[in-house]
Amino acid sequence: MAITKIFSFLAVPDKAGETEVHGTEITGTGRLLEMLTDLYDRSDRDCRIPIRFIMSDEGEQINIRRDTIIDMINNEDYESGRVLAKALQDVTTHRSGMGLFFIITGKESNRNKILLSRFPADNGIMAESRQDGRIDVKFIERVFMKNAKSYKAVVYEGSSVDSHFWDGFATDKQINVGIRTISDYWVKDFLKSDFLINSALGSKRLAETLMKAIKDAPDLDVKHELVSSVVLIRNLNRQNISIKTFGERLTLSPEARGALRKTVRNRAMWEETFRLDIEEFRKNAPYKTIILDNGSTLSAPSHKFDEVFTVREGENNYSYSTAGKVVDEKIRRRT
Amino acid sequence: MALKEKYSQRYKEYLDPVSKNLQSFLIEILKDENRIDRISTRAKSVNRFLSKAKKIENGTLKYSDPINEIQDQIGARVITFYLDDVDNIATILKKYLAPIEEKRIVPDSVNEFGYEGKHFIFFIPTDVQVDASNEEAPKFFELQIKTLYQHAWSEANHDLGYKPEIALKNDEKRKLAFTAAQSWGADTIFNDLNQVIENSTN
Repeated sequence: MAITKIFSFLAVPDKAGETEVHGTEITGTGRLLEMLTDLYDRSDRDCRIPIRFIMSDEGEQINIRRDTIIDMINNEDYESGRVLAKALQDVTTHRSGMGLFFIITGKESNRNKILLSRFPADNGIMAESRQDGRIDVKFIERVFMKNAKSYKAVVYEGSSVDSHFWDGFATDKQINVGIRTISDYWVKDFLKSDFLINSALGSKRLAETLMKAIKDAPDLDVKHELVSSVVLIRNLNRQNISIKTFGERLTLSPEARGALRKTVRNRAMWEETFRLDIEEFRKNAPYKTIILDNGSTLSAPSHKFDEVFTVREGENNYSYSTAGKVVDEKIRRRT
Repeated sequence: MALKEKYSQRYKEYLDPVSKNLQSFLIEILKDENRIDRISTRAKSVNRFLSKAKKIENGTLKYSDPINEIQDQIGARVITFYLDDVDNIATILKKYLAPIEEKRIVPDSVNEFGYEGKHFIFFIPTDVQVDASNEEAPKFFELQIKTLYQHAWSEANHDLGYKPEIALKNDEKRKLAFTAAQSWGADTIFNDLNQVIENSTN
């Protein structure tokens, strides 16, 4: 979709709301425009976290940030951009630091698109070759870099300005930083938004996916790996994950990740980010695992564990026994 | 494409299958709740959609872009036993679903009796969508939580009170209000009795 307007504003730390915002409209041609066009064209691939605006405290379909973004889409002018940049500046702390804020709007037939992107400020060193074979080395302040760890962006697209633009896709590499002021800065504080899927639904969905993948996995090693992940997941409690990043965070093998992917119905469900709620997860993936000091591991769904294993308590140890048909060919070879 | 054709196609390809998936989804997340009479979902029929799209408000069409603006193209209703269950169920639903609107509808005045219920507009979860990448598909559905009496009254009231060809006389309107008052009374008394029983067993 073709770009119609680009504005840029400097957002400095100013929670007190006392500093004016300065910016400019970017026009013409050149390397900067090329870079921003590339950023805009790539935004659908870069921004992968589905987010949604939250309703007003009174339960109405009102969100002040959505309103300012819609004003920007409708007006495409400096003043609407300045209001948006001021809103970003008002939630910017010294911890989040100075940033260069870009607003890029686009239109095509009846569709609208808007990309908001924040480049963090950094310091840099510039080196240039001289004709005498030496180099000039200079320290530069206020270098704004996309590749820095704190780059953030969000993209919204739709055809009806009044009815659409309730959800969009964000990128925020600091979303899992333990410090609330940093992790909440872009999505919660500035965009007045939350993840599209709630913590409970995401955790339930992950649990059900894992249970099904364990049941269906044809390979014993994969099955074992997935069962172990049910135990290890507690370390990710309250972290922002998707089913996809869950496998990456626990460094599951490609086969185990493949088994998970196969179980998920579509790519959106595979990638949707949510905050893990371990209680909700356990409610939907009750799995009991006991590891003995002789190297053996006993695992079964919690509700069936006492049914399938008989335990005898000795003086210093426990004896477990079970009986059943061997249903997996690989299990038979190993036993 | 004309509105009727566009909506008919959407109804067949998206709304109807999604509304069926949504019913299973809601049944699953509310499976531990004992005092639910039923959970139903429906895709708004083509005729009802077209009729709503033509609605006039203050002399002009209420919806300038009905295909995008009408948010109850998929509707769901959860029918509970008692008044206290409404808020409990609302809490569970908000835990799993993302709302953009939540309101309790009550008569304007304490001297009036009429339509009551709790309404939400929720995002349609990806779990029930038939084609998650379809940008044109609606993103929301309407959900109502009602007690058995609220449900019974609103269904009969809708059937009797909204016939455009017959205008009800004042006495007949009072009869409808009387049935609403009786429903309100039954709901209140059943809820009180349930609280008494729950308090005595705890």
